[in-house]
Amino acid sequence: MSLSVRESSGVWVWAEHHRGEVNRVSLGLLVKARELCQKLGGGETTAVLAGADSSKLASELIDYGADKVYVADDRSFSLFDTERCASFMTALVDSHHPEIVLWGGINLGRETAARAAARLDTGLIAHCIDLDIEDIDGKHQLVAVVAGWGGNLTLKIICPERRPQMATVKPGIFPPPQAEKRTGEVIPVKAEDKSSRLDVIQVAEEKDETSSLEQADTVIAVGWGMNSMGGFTAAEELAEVLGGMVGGTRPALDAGWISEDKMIGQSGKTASPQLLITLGVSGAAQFATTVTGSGFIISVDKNPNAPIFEMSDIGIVGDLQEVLPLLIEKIREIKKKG
Amino acid sequence: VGVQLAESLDLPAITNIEELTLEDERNIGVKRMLERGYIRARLKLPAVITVTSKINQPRLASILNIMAATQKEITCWNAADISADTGCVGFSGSPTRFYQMSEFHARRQGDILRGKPEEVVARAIDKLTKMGVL
Repeated sequence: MSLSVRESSGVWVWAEHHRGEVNRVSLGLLVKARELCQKLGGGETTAVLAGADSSKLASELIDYGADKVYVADDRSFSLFDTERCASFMTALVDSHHPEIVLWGGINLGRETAARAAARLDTGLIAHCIDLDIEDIDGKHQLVAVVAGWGGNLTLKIICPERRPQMATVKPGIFPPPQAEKRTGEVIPVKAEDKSSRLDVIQVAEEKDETSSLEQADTVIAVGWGMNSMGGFTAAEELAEVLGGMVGGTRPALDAGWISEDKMIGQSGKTASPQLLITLGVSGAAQFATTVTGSGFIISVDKNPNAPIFEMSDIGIVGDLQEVLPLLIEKIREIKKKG
Repeated sequence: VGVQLAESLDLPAITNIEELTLEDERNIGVKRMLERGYIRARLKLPAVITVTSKINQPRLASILNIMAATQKEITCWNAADISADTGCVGFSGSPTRFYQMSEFHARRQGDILRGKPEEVVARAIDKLTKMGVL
C-alpha cells in the first residue's frame, strides 16, 4: 500500500474539531503545511474534515492555508471513533497520494494517526517540536524534530522510503497567526459506512476554563525551587496581578501544586505565551524545549548556574522569598497606574 | 504502540483509559480521558487497551516477595524466538530513522541580574517597562 516517492505530492492536515470549533493545533499546522509545500517546490495544501456539520468549518481551514478541503459531513461520523477516522483517511490517502500528512498531537489525533500509519504501512513521527524540509540523499524530505533522552538532545527523524511521511505535532508548537481571507476548493466526499466497534455512551466535558495553558498570553511557571516559599500561593498572586495562568514543571506536579493539565514539559503541555515568568525552575531541557516559543522569558532562581538563565531574556539570581514579594508589589504598582 | 498492535491484530482498541470495568463476558466499559473531560464507552472483547497511571494504585511489594523475586527465572525472547519477521522489527524494520542528533540549546541574549533584591527587582521592572512587556 505504501507509495513510491515520485508519485506523491502535497501536504495534508487532518482537521480536529469539537463543538463547531476547529482545534488551534490544526489551524497552526495548516500554516506550517503551506510553508512546507513551498519548500517542496509546489504542491497543494489540503485539509481533511469529518463529522456532523463539519462542512461549515471548511472556509476557516481555507483561510488558514488550505487550497483544498475534503469534507465528509456525515451525522454518523464521530471523531471519537478513531478506527473509522483512520479508515476514511486511509482511503483518501490511497487515492490522492499526499507527500506528507500532519496530525495534531492531541489525544484523539494521536490515536487516529497511529491507526492510519499502521494501515498505510508507513512511518509516524510522534510528538514533534519542529518540522522542516531538507535535501537528503538527493530528494526533498520531511525532517521532523523530536526531543530525546529527557529532552537534552534534539533528534531529527526522517521517513526516507515510505509515503506519506507522517508526523504528530504537540499543541502550542505552531501557534496560528491571524488568518487572511483566501479562496479554496471544498470537495464533499463520502465516508465508507462501517459499523463501529466502539459504543460511546457518555461524553463529559470538564468545565471549560476560559483559556488553556497553550493559549494563555501570560504564564507563570513554578518549579521545585518554589519549595522555599512553602508552595505556590505567591505564584498565583503574581498570575492574578498579571492576568496570567499558573503552570509548572514535573516536580511541581509531583508536589501537588499544579494539576496534570497545567504541567509544562515533554510529557505535558507546550507553552508559548507572550510573557513567561519562571519561578524556581532550573530549566532542564524537557521543560526548556516546550517553552522556546515564548515571547519574553523572565526567570527567578537562586542558582546562578541554572540552565534557565541561558534561555531567559531577563534572569534574576536571588532568593524567591525575597525577590517574589517585591516583584509582585512593583508589578501591582505599575498595573494600578495603568 | 497499543493502537498499532491492535491494527495488526485487527482488534478494537482504545487509549488513555483511566477506569475499566468488565460488563459481561463479551464487553468492557471504559473511561477514556480527553484533553478536557472524558468519554465513557463500551468495547467488544477481545480488545487492546492502553491505560494511564491512574488506572490503579499498585500496592507496595513486601520484603519477602522482593527477595523471592530475585530467585525467579526470567525468560527473555528475541525476534527469532517468536519467529518474527526480522525485516519488520527493530531499527531495520522501522520506516523512520535518525538523521541527525544535536544538543538542545535555547540561548537568548539575556541580562542576568544579581545583587540586592530591591535593586535587581527595580532593574528588572525598569527593563520590562522600557521594552513594553509590562
